[in-house]
Amino acid sequence: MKLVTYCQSRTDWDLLKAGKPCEVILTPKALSRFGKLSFEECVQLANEMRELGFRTLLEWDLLMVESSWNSLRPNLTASFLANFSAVRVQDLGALNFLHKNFPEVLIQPILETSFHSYSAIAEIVEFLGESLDRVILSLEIPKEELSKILTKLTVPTELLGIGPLLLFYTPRSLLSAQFQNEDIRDRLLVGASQESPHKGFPLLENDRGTFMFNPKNHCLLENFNELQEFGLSHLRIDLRNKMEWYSLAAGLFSNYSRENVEKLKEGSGEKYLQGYYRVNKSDVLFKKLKNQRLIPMDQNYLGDILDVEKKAYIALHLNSSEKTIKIGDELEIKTPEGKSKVFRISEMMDANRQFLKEAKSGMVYFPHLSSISIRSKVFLREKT
Amino acid sequence: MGTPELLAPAGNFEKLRTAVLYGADAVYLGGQNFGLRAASENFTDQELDAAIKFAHDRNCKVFVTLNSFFHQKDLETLPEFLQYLEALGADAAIVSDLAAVKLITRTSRIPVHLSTQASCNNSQAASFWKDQGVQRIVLGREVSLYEAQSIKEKSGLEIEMFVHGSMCMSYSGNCVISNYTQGRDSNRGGCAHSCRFEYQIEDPSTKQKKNSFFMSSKDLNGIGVLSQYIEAGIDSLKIEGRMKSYHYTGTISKVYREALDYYSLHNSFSKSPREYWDRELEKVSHRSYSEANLLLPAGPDTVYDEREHVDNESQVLGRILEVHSDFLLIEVRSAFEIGDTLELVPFIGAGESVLLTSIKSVLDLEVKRTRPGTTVKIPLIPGAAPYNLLRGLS
Repeated sequence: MKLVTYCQSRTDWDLLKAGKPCEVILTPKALSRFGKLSFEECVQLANEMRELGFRTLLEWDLLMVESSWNSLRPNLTASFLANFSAVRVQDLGALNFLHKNFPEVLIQPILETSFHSYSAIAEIVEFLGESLDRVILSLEIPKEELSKILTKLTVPTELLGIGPLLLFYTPRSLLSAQFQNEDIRDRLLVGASQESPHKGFPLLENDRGTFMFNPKNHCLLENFNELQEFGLSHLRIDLRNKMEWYSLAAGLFSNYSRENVEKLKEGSGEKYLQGYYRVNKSDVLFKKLKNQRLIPMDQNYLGDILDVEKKAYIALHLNSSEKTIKIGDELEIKTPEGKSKVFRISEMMDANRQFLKEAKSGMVYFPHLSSISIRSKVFLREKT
Repeated sequence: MGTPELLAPAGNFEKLRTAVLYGADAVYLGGQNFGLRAASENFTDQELDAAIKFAHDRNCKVFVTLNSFFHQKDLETLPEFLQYLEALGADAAIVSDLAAVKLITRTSRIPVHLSTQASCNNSQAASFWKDQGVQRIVLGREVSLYEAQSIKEKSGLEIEMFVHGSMCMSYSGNCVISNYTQGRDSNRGGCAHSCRFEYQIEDPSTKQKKNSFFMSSKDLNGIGVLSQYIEAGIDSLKIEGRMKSYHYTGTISKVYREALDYYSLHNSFSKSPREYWDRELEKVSHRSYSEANLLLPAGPDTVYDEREHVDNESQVLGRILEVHSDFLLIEVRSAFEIGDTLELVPFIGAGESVLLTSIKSVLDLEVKRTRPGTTVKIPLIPGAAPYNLLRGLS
């Protein structure tokens, strides 16, 4: 497994040389969310890196509206792009643009957002064909699924090994308005929710937008050997604000040990999580978001109880004009509280208090039944 | 120049009926799976059948949301649902996941609309999705009307834009706060709306602290730039809000229906009853309004730096269930009493104020004050129709 990491400055580059990453990600300010380099600096560094045998990657992870795109377009020439071994993109517009206009440019699609299935990843692999360099995979894919995906994929793959976890990204400037008397741009602030126990969210505003990170960083380095066995080809080390720990992180690739992982984690002063690596159950709570008893999962659903007058009537609003109910039919009522009651229609009236023999739509009033509340669901029982 | 389609939200059958009757050209709704509103009632398979028939009988299209980001196991059950939707005659599927887009285009004839979740914000991205078989793009809310026009011209695709309702502050599909703080995947329907929370923000270097709802966006209101939507050739105007009330659905649909019809008739909005429309849009629960990114990039004034509240909503008294020769049967949602002034909200045209002189129970007994969760009879109001809304006039 190979190491990939970021270079944001010449100082970073001096640190990186010794650690010998196989690839270095260069982050131009105009294209990268957290980039600090000018295009010229990127080219200069890329040339130096190439001379020393490093692969260089240009990061283009900004999402762009049409006007930003138009202003950027003149910079994206074949000669500029030729300075880099590959370009990393998230915006599918950027991916499409590079693929169609510069077939010689190798592309690393960042599939961390919205590509959680093998099928979706495979579509991008097929679309890019020979232009594909490798795919950057989502952190929301649990390891059981990840191993299957890595077995099926025949292209190089990458995951974040250690680094911040971005939770929120907007192009709007949200923080500077809060601190009008000081320049907070490009400075890490900290947010604490006042309505939940969560605190310690790193917040950053720069000229590309506002970003919120998870209080705990992501770390999969403990699973180094397992990921290697699954067939992952690259792990990314994102220590952009902690470059002093880079050499220790890089050392893990030549001489992996759990002790050094712990040393790195402790030394960095950050807290870490593995996110959804072990299991992803982020959809299991959905059923609790609403009263399942109010979901009429039955083809014999007739409508809802809208009114209950004790000792007088219950009122059914017939939603379905497909079904006719008649005297003698058996109905089942399911209450929001989970009770169920079956009764046979002995009499029914309309709002004019006229007795009905049958009804297909509108309001129908039955003699009162105990324990029935409004919003109960009513179903026609099949005759056996 | 034709007017755009008016696309309204339908969180359940009642809201669908309201949207259709109050003038939507199309509605969007979700089944029990694959959408982004897990907390909404949504539609069972049987309800979908009835909903599509109801809408189609009234020349209204139905678009079904399948716009979650799919994991592999979710994709396995999608083909059966697609078959069902195709048999019902669903007019489009709203999708954000590439695997789902390809599955639909390869195995069914249902047109695909790309969900705003895909954050398609430029013509190159639109071109990518066109190549994948997408017919319409629901643009990200970061895109201006000017940019939307350019994307439409360059891509040749149908363009849908939000015109009214709540706004994600984040690039859609790029927010995972709920995933990591609540264990609920926001991109599979579990958004906990953490962006609406109050946060304390601290600058560690100065120790300065500020409390703010800095991630909460004001609501979008596009009524003031409707002519620009039309002139830009936007094909569909989307009202956000499947989780909102039927009062919201009805009122907003009605206002935009009337505005679009006005433009259709007069080819401009000069002398339009804009103030009336504005007043109507104020009657539903909403955050402060803004035009967000429609004309200029959204600035600091588009942040809704307040706690959520609903004190600006007109009181919904109920809806008309049946119209009889001498009375209206009302489903009561909020209490009202004899002597109150009610406002009937017809499907077309201005509302009518009526002084309530009599209320009777279903058993024809006099009622002085109604109770929510009951049905009562009030005197006939000329022009009233089943499912008209009744509001209170303060």
